[in-house]
Amino acid sequence: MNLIGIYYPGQSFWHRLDPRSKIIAVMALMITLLASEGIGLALLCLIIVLLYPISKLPWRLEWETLLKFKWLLLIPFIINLMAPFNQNNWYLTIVTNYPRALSVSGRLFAIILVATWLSYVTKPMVIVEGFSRLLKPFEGLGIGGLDIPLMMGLVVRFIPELFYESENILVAQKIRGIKPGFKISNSSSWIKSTIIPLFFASIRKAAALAIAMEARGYRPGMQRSSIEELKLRSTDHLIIGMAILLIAWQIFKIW
Amino acid sequence: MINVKSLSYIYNPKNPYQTIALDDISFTINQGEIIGVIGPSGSGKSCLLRCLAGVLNPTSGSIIINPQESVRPEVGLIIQEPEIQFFNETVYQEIAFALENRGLARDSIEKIVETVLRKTGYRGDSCQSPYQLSGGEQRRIAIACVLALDPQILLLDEPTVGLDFCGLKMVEQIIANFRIEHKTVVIVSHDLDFLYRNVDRYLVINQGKITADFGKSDFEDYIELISKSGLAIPELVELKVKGIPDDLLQGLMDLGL
Amino acid sequence: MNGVGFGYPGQAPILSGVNLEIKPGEKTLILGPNGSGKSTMAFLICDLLTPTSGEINRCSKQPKVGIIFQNSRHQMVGSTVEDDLAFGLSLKSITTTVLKKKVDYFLEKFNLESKRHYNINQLSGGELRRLALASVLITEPQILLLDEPLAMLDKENQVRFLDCLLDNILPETTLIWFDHEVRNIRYTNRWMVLTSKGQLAQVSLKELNSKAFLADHNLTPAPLQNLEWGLPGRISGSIFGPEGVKFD
Repeated sequence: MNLIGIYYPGQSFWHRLDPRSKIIAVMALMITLLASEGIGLALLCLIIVLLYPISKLPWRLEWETLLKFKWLLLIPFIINLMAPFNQNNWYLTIVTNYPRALSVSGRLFAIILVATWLSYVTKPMVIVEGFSRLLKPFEGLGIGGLDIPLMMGLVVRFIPELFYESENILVAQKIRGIKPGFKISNSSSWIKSTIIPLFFASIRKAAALAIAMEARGYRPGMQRSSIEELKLRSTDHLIIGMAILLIAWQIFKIW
Repeated sequence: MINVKSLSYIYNPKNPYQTIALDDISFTINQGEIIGVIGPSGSGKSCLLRCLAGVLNPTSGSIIINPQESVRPEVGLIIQEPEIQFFNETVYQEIAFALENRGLARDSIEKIVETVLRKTGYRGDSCQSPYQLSGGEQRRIAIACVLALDPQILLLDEPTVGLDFCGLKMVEQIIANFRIEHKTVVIVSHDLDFLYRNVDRYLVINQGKITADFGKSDFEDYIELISKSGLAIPELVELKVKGIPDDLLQGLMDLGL
Repeated sequence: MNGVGFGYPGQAPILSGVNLEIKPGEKTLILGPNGSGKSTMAFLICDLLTPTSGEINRCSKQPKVGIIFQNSRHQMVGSTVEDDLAFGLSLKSITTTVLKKKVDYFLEKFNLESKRHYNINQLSGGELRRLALASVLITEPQILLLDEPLAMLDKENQVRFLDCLLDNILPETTLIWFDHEVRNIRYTNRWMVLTSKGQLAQVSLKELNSKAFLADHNLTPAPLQNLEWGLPGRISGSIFGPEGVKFD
């Protein structure tokens, strides 16, 4: 069963934090990662690896998450190891390139771990709500005001339904003689008979839902109350404070 | 004739979260029978139809239909809301699609389309776009698409959903035609009144197993079982049980109640 | 509604010259076959569409309206039962605690508590319909519109839905029910018919009992009406179903 990217229930300190402080902390960590090198980077990676057990997430979860991203980690490493190529000498090439390759992969490794960690310790709708509230002050600039939780919610709501419809469509077309197995010779038939109906079905559903939402009182751009309770506690303030300090330090370093 | 032996269908077989849709089912259907498959939701009825049609491969067991091919062309399945399958510009093209896939010649296709449109009582123009038709007419065209294949066995998955009175009558007419031509029909429906009017034999499926298999004349003996499965008894049967004389009942059946 | 008409540009009008007056608290059934403009009327009442002719007067500026569609799946906004119930309430400015309490209360009342976290795709048709009803009633609408609410449900779920409906609407709620099945007149006290020409007319029990009338207007007779027509005098009370049946 696919355990990646889904909330892993638990009662740890990190689980109970407000999503906003976690989001800010993750951003701070990512900025620090990008600005770090050498031993600092290695230490930071170690800290991030330890985030999982600190949050009472099993080691196995961490390992399986990394496995899912193995190609994303290995390919850049190999590419960075091999380029720039040093005068037909393999040994020399590897020796000169491996610190950089390690840095690049190390950063990727840590970014993946920290991002997935966030999705494990926070429920998806709570993350979305957190993002939305963080973006509220930017509403005037045209970024917020989009009711992102609603959009995310609708995407989540429609995915299973569209899968189900596409199955039905495929059954209907199989009966009408689409030959099983997708080949180039019958690909246009396949594409027309599956994508067009799915397209129409999606539009129909969206139109019906739009009417239903208006009928239920929704008007675009309106303020909505949320079913998620978000409260910033002292621990959140602490984490946010530390994150801001970290970001400030990185900016200072670059300066 | 359809012979089903020890048929099982399991979703996600290698997973601890597998779902058993059909559990070791066996039964036989003879040619010319009109059968109703009933049962609570989620009992595997749609899955059974899809296995019979050859669109789903059973996890174990066998289905033998005389004669047999991979996606069985002599079996026609009409899914629950068949209008979703439309993708062509005209009604003609929509129906011709299935025939073109079979490699038929242009004039045979034209003839078949004409016959099948007549059979489903479509009173429009075959150059119309299927998307501009009313719900009832779309259903007619969708049914015509499958009838064009001239199936010997017709499988209907909840044919009454979304239809008004006229639409229902059309479906009943098609079933009646199949009966006259001595062809087989298997209908999955939750509408027992509809089935009572049209069907000779009932298969009750509950949680993937067949819990009953009886003919129309024995309906009263199974009332308790049916109620326990969460289904509603057809009103005609309720009346019979209350003691209405047979000639009255016969009168209503002749009326097509 | 006064002389209301509606039609899409370039197509024949769906409704024309509709006159209708509904007082608060009335329970009305509007009968008509598919395609006769029932949904159009529902949208006009909801103010989702503007009539192309005539006018609609409402007692209060923007009465709260709720609609239950034929296919409940189309009106689900939330991905879980809880989310969908919360949606209607989230459109008002109430605090999160009050919102949560109301959601809990309605889950209880409609027998959906055990399915609270279920994805809407895991619910059966009957449960979806009850959820739609709950999500609409949670906003306490003054007018409730039902578009073939019993369609696609088997008898048991129809009964459950009707129980939920009758238990939970207030006497002040105006109910307008659109359908093509005559048997539903027993849940309402005013009956009207929408003709194929898009006109609305009041209808009497006598007319509803006439085979010719029903055939003309393409309405589905109650199952036992055929009994009475075919064998007159032997069975009566057929419009109200088996419970009301009397034999000679």
